[in-house]
Amino acid sequence: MSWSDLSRKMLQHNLHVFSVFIGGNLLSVALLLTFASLYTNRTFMNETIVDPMISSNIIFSGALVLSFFVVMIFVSERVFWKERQREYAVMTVLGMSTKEAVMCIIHENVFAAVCLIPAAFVMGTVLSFCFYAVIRYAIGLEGIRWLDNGKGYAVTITLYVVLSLTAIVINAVIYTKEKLILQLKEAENERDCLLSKVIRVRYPGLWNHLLPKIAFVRLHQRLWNVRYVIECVLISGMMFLIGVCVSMYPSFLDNAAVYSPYDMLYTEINGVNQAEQEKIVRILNENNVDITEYRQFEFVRNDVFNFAAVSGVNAIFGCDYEVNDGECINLFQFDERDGYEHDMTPVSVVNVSDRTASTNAKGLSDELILTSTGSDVNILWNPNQAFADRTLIVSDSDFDRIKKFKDCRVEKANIYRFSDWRNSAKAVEQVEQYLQQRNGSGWEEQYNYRISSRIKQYERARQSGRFLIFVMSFVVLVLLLASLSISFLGLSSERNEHIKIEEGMYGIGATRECIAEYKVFRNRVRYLFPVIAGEVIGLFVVMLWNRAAYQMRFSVVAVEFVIAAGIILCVRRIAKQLENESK
Amino acid sequence: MSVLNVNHISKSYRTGGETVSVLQDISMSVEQEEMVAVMGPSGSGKTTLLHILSGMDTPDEGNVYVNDNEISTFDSEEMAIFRRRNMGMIFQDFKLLESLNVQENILLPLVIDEVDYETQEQKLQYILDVLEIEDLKDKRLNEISGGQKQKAAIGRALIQKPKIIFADEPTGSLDRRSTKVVMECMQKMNRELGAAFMIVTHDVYTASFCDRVVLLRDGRITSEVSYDRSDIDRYNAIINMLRGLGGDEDELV
Ligand SMILES: Nc1ncnc2c1ncn2[C@@H]1O[C@H](COP(=O)(O)OP(=O)(O)OP(=O)(O)O)[C@@H](O)[C@H]1O
Ligand SMILES: [Mg+2]
Repeated sequence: MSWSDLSRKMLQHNLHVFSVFIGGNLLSVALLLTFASLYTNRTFMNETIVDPMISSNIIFSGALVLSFFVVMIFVSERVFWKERQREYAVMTVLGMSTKEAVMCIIHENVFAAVCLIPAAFVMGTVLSFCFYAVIRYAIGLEGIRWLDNGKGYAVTITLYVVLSLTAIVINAVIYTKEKLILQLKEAENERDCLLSKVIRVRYPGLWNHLLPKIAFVRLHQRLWNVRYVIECVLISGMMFLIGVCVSMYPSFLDNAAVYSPYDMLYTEINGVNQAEQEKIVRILNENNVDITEYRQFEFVRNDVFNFAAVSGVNAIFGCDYEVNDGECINLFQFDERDGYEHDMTPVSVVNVSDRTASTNAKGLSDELILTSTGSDVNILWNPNQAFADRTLIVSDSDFDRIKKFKDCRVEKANIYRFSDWRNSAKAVEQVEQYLQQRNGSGWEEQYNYRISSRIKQYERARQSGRFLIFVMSFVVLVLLLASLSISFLGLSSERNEHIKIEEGMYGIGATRECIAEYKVFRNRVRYLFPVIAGEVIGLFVVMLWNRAAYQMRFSVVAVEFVIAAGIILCVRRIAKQLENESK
Repeated sequence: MSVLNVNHISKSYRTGGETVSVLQDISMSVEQEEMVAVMGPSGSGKTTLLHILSGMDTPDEGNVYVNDNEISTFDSEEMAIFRRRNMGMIFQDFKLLESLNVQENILLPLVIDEVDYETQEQKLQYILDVLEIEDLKDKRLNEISGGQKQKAAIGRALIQKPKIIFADEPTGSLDRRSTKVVMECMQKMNRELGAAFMIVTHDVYTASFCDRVVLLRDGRITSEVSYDRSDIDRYNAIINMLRGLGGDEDELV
């Protein structure tokens, strides 16, 4: 018999160990690949094709997938080494050196990893195609090319190799440091947890009643505790994500409405993007959209600020700001309850200068210093690419001065209100086409003069929400499955020891029914306990977060409770089902 | 000449803040071709002693010489090679590999030592003949009994013809008849191969197959008894020795 015969035989016999390792790695690599290829997809991350509001959803969920990936790799490597240790410790007793044993385990490990990579890539490719299909057809985002480049693969394989190697090195060091007599021990010494101590001392009656039932549970208490913690984290993470989705989806829609006070807006910039007003009215009317309000307001912008004249703002938007010459008001067009953090620190002194004029070296009139007299939070107009990020309201005469500065642009925003904005999708699209035709600029340039409309904003929010829900449900499912499979695989790896306990109980006169009942109890404890604990923790976190961001939405709590209850029922069923199968 | 020499070894464990002294100043030696039984009550440190002597654990103080080599000076690589050629181990729970069948388990030390195929066959055949387990060689472990497993484990421990074999309760999970078979096997291997045996046991019957009995109590060697190989009623001799120490034998082993 040669070493290769031997390792082949061990491989065959330990297929279950390998399959757990390969399964875990396969799933996490495929998942990471899916997210990485979306994240590195140039069309998906291109702002002109997919709105950043939608594509940014991938960042948070991608980070989650990445952390899941990291945990999964480390856990499965640890399990793999622990399992392989059983045989290699015996071989060390027979005269294999620790170094040889470590090298052998590394060989097996690398062999398994090399086998799974192609499969994982096929799986990930298929999965990312499904993603693409959902994004394209169910969510309705157009213009995305599937497998736009190979970067996702490169990122995934690099991460996988780096993490696996790190895990291998760590495990090899642990293996080398661990004493042989400890490696040879089948089960670790278990210590009582606090709860069981309290019950045993305080309520001996209850303890005796529970004793046969918890025989299984106490066998690997420390190991179970570790698994409980991991599962608990997974489940609470899952609850949190569900909470996030349930809160974010309506708030996306609300925000779309709040941030779009007008139904349509487009701007003329330095005379570009001009339109004939009658033509636009005609297009709108042709599509059965009646205009109930039309205004035009003028503003000036440089790279950082929009400047608006106080009289114009007051007249058009019905405000009552007061600004003297040399002063300004910082206007923040945000909703403070939209669930996001906003930077609302006002700029106290603004120095507006006309750089082109100063090279003429003429007078002092080309510099204007504005001092802030306060700030206001108010959404006056729709967001649009034509606007700068910050807005200052200035006096009328300052406004006229800024207008003449050469590095500032004078823009005219045209704002509309319709009788029924929900019907306006087609009309808005045709107006956009008309603007494009009339001004004839390329699409990239056109992007800056694009129309903003409530309907577009709303649709985008809906798409974004759906995309978020889709991606998150995917992650949620993975978390739930991961948590359940930890329970399941853990139990199946302890099967032999549990059979011994069963035989022991049978030997001392427990009937089959009793033992079956104990095992149902065990399964419930095994599956339900971490689920319930995770749900409670998750709910708590969701509520804290929800209160901070949205002042507590009832719908979130309700949905969370329903889902929590649903999962518990499912898990109970699964636990029972598994017991029936194993009979 | 002795294969094993133990000089003044001590070992203690720290558990929960207090130090428990398990072995105190133990010195002993095992001669070539000698079978020594180590007896003693539960918790007296027998397993700990065996682990230290076989290099699986290290003593706090003292030295262990196997074949005149001080094993504590070996690094892990040297210890591995030394163990594979000079020592055999037998456990109460056999520690055979489930993934291999009987013959493969027995061959394992040779495979680890990269011995060529012909020598493997030759040595295996010899072991199978002596232990009379030719018919078991292709069986998987779940198809054979405890006594048969222990025979396979003995075969595995002896296939390299080591100088000394350490056995921790080799008959602990066997009935009287299997014990007899297994101990006779060990005796036979001892006579034929000239390997020394150090056997930890609770069982007087098991000990009665040995040439010498060492009694361990509270981490110290308290008494020894040895007899001739021709001595036929060793069982009663050991019982008498234990009785002679005062107290009954149940308390002492
Ligand atoms: N790893 C350890 N940590 C702490 N204490 C230990 C450890 N291993 C053994 N002991 C203690 O050392 C003492 C001797 O243990 P050992 O296993 O050597 O006894 P033994 O004579 O083999 O008993 P038995 O006949 O029951 O097998 C015991 O009191 C035990 O509690
Ligand atoms: Mg012992």
